[in-house]
Amino acid sequence: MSELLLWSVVGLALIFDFVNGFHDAANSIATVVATRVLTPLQAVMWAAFWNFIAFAVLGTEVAKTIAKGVVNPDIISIGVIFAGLVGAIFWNVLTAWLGLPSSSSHALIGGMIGAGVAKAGGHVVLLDGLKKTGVFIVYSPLVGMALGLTMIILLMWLVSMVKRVEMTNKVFRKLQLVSAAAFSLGHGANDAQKTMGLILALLIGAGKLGDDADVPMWVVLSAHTAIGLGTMFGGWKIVKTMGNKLTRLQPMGGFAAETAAAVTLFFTSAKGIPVSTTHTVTGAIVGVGSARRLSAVRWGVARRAVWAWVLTIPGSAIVAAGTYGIVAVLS
Amino acid sequence: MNTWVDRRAIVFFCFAAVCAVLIWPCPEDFRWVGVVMSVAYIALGVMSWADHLGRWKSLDKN
Repeated sequence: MSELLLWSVVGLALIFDFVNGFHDAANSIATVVATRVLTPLQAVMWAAFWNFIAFAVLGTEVAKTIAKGVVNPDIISIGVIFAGLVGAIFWNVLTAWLGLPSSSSHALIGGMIGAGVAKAGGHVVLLDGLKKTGVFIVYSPLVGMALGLTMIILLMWLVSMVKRVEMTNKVFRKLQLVSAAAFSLGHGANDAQKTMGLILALLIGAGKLGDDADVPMWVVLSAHTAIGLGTMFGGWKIVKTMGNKLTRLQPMGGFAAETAAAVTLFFTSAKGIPVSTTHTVTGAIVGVGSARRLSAVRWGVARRAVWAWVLTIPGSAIVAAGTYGIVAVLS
Repeated sequence: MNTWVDRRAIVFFCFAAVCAVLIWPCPEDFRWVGVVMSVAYIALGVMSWADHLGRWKSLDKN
């Protein structure tokens, strides 16, 4: 029975990964779609491919942070992971339905905290891991924004020397394919690793792996497959918000935003920091838009997104704690 | 543009302050990120204000 439960929760973790890809697909492809470099279908296929390939490029540091750095691994059980996942999935579906670009990553972290606290109390939350994640909730969009703005300023300066607008647009339309691929690679690496971390914690908790175990290859491959498939079925409602509503982008702006976000994701993935791809790319898009003037950014939409972000960890934590309560009563 | 105050620069200075405040709770390994970001936002704020003042003065003369 517990074996069946274990594999059911592994399946649920992969469904979360799929929903994550579905929910965050827009981040990878919003700018290429907004600048009409690719059709939505082509963009989704392109992003899904690079999401999948990410396993071969970047390590599994983020997975280790999720598995061992958010709540004390000793209290992790099938019920905790199940409740955490339910909290995160509920929050993702709710924000996708509302068209809000919130963070799947923070929904997952909130879910794990809520379920862990419901099981064993506040002391199980690991402050070092939480501090790292919490500080980068703020840093990741700000880094994306500063890099996006710096890149667009440098590119505008370079282009002003060339003085051939049509050729410039052509070149950047092609370069955007590279930047979208780089961003999808970063997205696949950082986000798929969160599911890997969850499955790793589950397998360690169930005694299937030792405490110091690395992420098994089958977990790596299945997590990347799930996120790649999720991206292929992407969330169009959010594409619209990210690509058109925040600010209008030209191919050069799209290239700058995606490259800035990709650099941020590569850095955080390598350092084992679970960040939100949504936060990062939104910051980068706002940075590029603010090069023209602040009013080029639609701050009303950005404000709604910020509220969704602020509410994500507490919202998913409450749902997860409630779910854990039900699980505890039933078992 | 009808004032010498540059709102964009003020926003950047606020971001610099936020990055600086977060240096304290940040784990030691990553404190440099906050330092670099604070300096970067101050530099962006100064550049933005200089650009704004340049355009404001030329509009004022016209």
